[in-house]
Amino acid sequence: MSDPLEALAVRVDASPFFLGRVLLAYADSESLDEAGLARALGCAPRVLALLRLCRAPREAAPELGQDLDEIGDRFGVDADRLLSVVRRGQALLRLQAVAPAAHGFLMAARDAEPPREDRP
Amino acid sequence: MNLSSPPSAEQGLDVHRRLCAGSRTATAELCAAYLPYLLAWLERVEPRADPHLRTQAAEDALLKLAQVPWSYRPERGGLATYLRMSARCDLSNAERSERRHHRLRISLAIVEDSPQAGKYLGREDAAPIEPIPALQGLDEKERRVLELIAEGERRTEAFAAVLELSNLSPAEQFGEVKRAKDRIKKRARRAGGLRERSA
Repeated sequence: MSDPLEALAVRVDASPFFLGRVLLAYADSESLDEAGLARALGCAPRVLALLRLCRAPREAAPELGQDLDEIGDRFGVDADRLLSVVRRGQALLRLQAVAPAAHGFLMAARDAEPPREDRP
Repeated sequence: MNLSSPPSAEQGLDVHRRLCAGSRTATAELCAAYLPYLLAWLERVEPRADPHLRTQAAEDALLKLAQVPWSYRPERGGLATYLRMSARCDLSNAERSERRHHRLRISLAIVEDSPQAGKYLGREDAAPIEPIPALQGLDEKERRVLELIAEGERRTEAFAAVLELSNLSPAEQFGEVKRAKDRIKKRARRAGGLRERSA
């Protein structure tokens, strides 16, 4: 990774202080890589790095809209598109926080593996 | 972008004011404006330092200011000066820590390479190993905290990582880490096993 700003953006993805964590939660849920996430937001990869380095928006309704308007205006990103991505990311993070066993629950809902034919 | 000169003083004041006001974009603007400059500056003044440590120091300086903007007082000087001092201090701490770990690795390697039998545990003729009193009754995280204290570590984030408090705000981390350190130091002192380094 040659761009130091992109490297820094990767570093803050684990911190709840930054928007990157919310965007990463959304990207994980959609199995998107960075380019895919940038496409979902309608922005260039360089702008995505800046978005990830923004402070995480507040969760309550009026403040969330204000915060995303500020981010969208500053970096030229469609605020509605950003809103839907951020809402999903925040919801996923809330789910992870209140239900740490949710991973196991979701695993239980998967299809069973087909029986192996070479078993005796 | 001219990497040899920082953003203007007015730009620094503006981004700092917005960081303090809770702007959502000021953190990104701070990093975009100062990261290339700080990296170039550290490379110029610390050319022999490990490039990875230089990058980490520049990033640390920016991330700390982004999360605790009131740590910078504009009346005491420009933002670029503050960030340079912070990054250089972080670099020096990281180098010290790296040297300490390097020494430890060397000393362990000497034991590993030694043909003497004393390095082997569990020999029948070996004296039983007495547990260190200060470590008795501490859980794994508390032991690691005690080790960090003994190593002279002072950064809250290092202790917060061990105590798995990284998801808390910096102020909450500071409070929780302080409480944990005080509790562990008290227990270690009672057991007569803690000798802190003088600062």
